[in-house]
Amino acid sequence: MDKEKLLKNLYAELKKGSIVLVVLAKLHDKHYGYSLVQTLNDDHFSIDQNTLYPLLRRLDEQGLLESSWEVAEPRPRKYYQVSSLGKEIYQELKMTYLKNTNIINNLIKEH
Amino acid sequence: MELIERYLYQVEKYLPKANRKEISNELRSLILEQLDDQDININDEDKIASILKDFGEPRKVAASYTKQDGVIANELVPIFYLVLRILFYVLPITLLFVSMIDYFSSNDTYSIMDLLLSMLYRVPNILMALMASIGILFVVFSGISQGLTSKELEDIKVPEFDPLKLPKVPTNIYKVSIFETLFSILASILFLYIINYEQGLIAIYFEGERYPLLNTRFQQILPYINIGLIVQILISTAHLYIRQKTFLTKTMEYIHTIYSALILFILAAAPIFNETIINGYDLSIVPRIFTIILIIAGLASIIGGTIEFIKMFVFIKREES
Repeated sequence: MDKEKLLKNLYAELKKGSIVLVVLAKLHDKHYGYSLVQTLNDDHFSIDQNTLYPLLRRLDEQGLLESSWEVAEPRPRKYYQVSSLGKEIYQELKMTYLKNTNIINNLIKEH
Repeated sequence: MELIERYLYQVEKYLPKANRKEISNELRSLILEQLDDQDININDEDKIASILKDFGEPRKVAASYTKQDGVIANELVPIFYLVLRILFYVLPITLLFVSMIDYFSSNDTYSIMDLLLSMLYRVPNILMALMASIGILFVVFSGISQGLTSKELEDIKVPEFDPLKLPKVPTNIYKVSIFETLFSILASILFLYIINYEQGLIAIYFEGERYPLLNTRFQQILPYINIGLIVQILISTAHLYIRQKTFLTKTMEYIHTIYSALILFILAAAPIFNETIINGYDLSIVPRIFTIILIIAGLASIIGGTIEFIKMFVFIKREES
């Protein structure tokens, strides 16, 4: 496998673990799928829509998100927002993430 | 817009029924959102195609919404279907060829009718062989899927997805019910097997004894019944493969319906029951009931088939206007 492809795969793997955390963080405000992609892009966290849309659905099924169709707009849109369970889980994930980030920072700073 | 509906129809085909409409509606809303955002005209097929291409190949998109990969990895599915298609063509032709050689090598005198009959009797075996092969193929591909790492799977080339080549969404009259079609294939195979190899099962069961109901006249009609069942299997298989009916298959279906009705009438008119058993056990009511049922079934299938066929022309006319 060439270096570029290898790096691309490794970047994707590195990012994979943090996607749920980022999505839960952003969905403290209500968003529909496409607006969430745009918001994440604006924040320089690009994410493949084929990863995001099914993920939103999965988190909704797991009760971490609440969803509702809104038909008042020019066309129906499905909005997502983090649920109270989602908020609790988000806080736990965030703490673990920050703790791990510190550990990893210490581990990699020597080289 | 039509291209989006064609795309969504393909995605829906691979989604679990429970969430199908919901996911499809959500995808539609997301696609339209993107069109709006990029100021793409709803009739600009080329630009819509590029958006759909970004969304991904329908089977892949559907798979991303299901919890995990199927037993066969998504990357291997197109190859699996390709091998399956080859198998469907090659296996029956090879086995029929073998049966031809077998016929010529085991007979001193030859006749076309005997040859056709001997080949016809091989059909249930061919169907069994096909089913066994599909099973083996499935096991082999599942094994490969489990054995390959995700990186190795990623390296497998899949054909490029071209949204402009997506098939049209079938209208109601061309829709195929998968359950109904599978049931029709399995029932035809079972019936073929019974009437060709286990004819004795069609019998009167009395005090632990079995008395076969059918006589030798049934044997004379048997090849025609076999032809009808084989054609039924072929039409149903074609419907399963292309996932929709077409003008051609619907016409073939109608011809087959008329043919089957004629067979039913012939069966109703011919004395196919074992008279010794019928008279011996005073069962003269059985052939009479049987005759009435066959005539009603024959008439019903002609009327039903004709209505269905006319409906297609009405639909075509309406589409044209």
